[in-house]
Amino acid sequence: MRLLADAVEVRYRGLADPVLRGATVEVVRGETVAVLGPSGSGKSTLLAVLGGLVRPTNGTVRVDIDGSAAPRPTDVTTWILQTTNVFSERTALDNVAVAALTLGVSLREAYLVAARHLAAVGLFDRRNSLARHLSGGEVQRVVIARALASRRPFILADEPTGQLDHATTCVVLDALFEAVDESAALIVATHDPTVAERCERVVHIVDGRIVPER
Amino acid sequence: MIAGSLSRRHTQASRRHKKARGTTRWRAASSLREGYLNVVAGGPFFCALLAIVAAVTATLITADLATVHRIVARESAFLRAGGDLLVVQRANDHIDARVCARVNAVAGVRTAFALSADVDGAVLAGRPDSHQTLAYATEGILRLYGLPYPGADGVIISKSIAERWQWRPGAVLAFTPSSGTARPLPTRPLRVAAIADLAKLGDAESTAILLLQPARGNADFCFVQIRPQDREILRSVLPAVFGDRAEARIQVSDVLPPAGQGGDPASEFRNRLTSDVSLMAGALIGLLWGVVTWMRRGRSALYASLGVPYAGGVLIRWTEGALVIGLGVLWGTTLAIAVATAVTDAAASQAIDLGVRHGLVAMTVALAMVALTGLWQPATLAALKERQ
Repeated sequence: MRLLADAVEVRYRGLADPVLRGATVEVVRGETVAVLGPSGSGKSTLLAVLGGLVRPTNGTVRVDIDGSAAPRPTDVTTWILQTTNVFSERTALDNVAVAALTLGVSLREAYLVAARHLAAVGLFDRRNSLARHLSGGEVQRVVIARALASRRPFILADEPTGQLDHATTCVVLDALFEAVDESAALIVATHDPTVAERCERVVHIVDGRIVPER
Repeated sequence: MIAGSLSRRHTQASRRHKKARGTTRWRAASSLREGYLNVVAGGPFFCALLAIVAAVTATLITADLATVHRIVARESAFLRAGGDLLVVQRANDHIDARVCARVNAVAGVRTAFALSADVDGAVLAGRPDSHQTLAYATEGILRLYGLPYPGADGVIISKSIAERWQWRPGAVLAFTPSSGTARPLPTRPLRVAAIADLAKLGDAESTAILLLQPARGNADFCFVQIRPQDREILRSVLPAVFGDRAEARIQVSDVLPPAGQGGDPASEFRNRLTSDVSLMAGALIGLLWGVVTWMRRGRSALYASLGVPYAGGVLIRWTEGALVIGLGVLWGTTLAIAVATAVTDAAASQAIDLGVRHGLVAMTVALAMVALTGLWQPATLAALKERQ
């Protein structure tokens, strides 16, 4: 399964210049890709286009499954954003179980799966804590567990450690890269080279243009 | 250690879970559950919202219940004083008591009775100076006062007479004719069967002793108790029933002019400013929910980003809205009915009937607006970014 953005251009209303200029990216399931660039370079927009949240002005985005009928990008992607995107008044377990429920499993199964993924990111003991009582690093690990529980083949992480200190960043990244297995692709938008170093491939983006580096 | 604590159940669940990779099969039941849990977990926020919805509902509905109570109370007092009575008389002549009795069969008539007064027509036995007015009425008068048949020797006395002579039901009295007696008096002793407010029949009757008489011969007046809504049509019909003649016109008049009660209660009820409070309450609550939906757009976006389909998100928002608004309006309506009944002394059945109708309208309007606002799905990325 591949996620493809082909010659994508994105213009936002009110902005003279396009945010993305002819960006072409291909991500295959199982790989980890960093989208590296300074603030305002178009990283988040590229992820949004890949995730189907922003419609490109020009170009196409599609999911390729061995030539067969493909789902929409929104059906195969899940998001890891910065630390506040959880249901703060719900427990860690609830937050993760919601993602599992999108697969149509029973409630019991969803909670079992959620517990397993919380264990995988080291939060099994905190599963019944309200999200608002968790630290920033713990919240981000809940978000990682949630992304994994959704079983989406493409995980889009937009500055996942942007609001964390160095020590917590290491813990969260360890959890993220350990938890993502060969059945999913991880695409991380970051301006932090240390995050990019952990990825198998880096896509550099400057002023909306993509330059592959390795 | 943790892995060890996760049982085989987890592994089995995981296996089933993996089969589902990459597809979205969100169930409607999950939306209902999420909506419910969001409200329950929402704690102070939803409690405050519930209280606001209840307060808006209760305030507006109470305002209308109080207004209606004022109208109804004024009309009831007016009717009690004789506001639902028409009096029929013929200019320069008597009316036929048999015709008056037949008026009972006319639609819109609650009761009709012929009435004549014999002012100072008797002297009470043993009280030579007591010139007493006697009134003669046909049986229909009993329905006006809700009295049972008093018997052949029973009389009904006015309140003022009862007070003056300290008579109670069962008291025995007898008459002797006075110089101006117009009718033959009963010679046997009579018994006070009931005390009634005869004053609404006229000044003479306010101090009268009333005797029943058969519906025959002539009478001074025919009193007709009507359904208030049939007042005008009966005013136009009654002259024909009594046989209006040019030389002796039938006059139909109100015992109390309706203007005396400060306006027509029916139109006052219809045109009251508070009649649409339930629409107003529903619209206000709906608008409030619109604001709440906008405030919580990040949450809607979060569900969307997790893969909850549009319809699933709509159902979550509908569930949240229906729960909060349903409970809030129910609470507010109950409160309004309780307050109206306790504070304004309104009849419970009237308050319940009107309050429930207001509550249902408010809830329908508010839920319709919840349904509409629930259809709005914010732009996911923008809402998620704002959330950060």
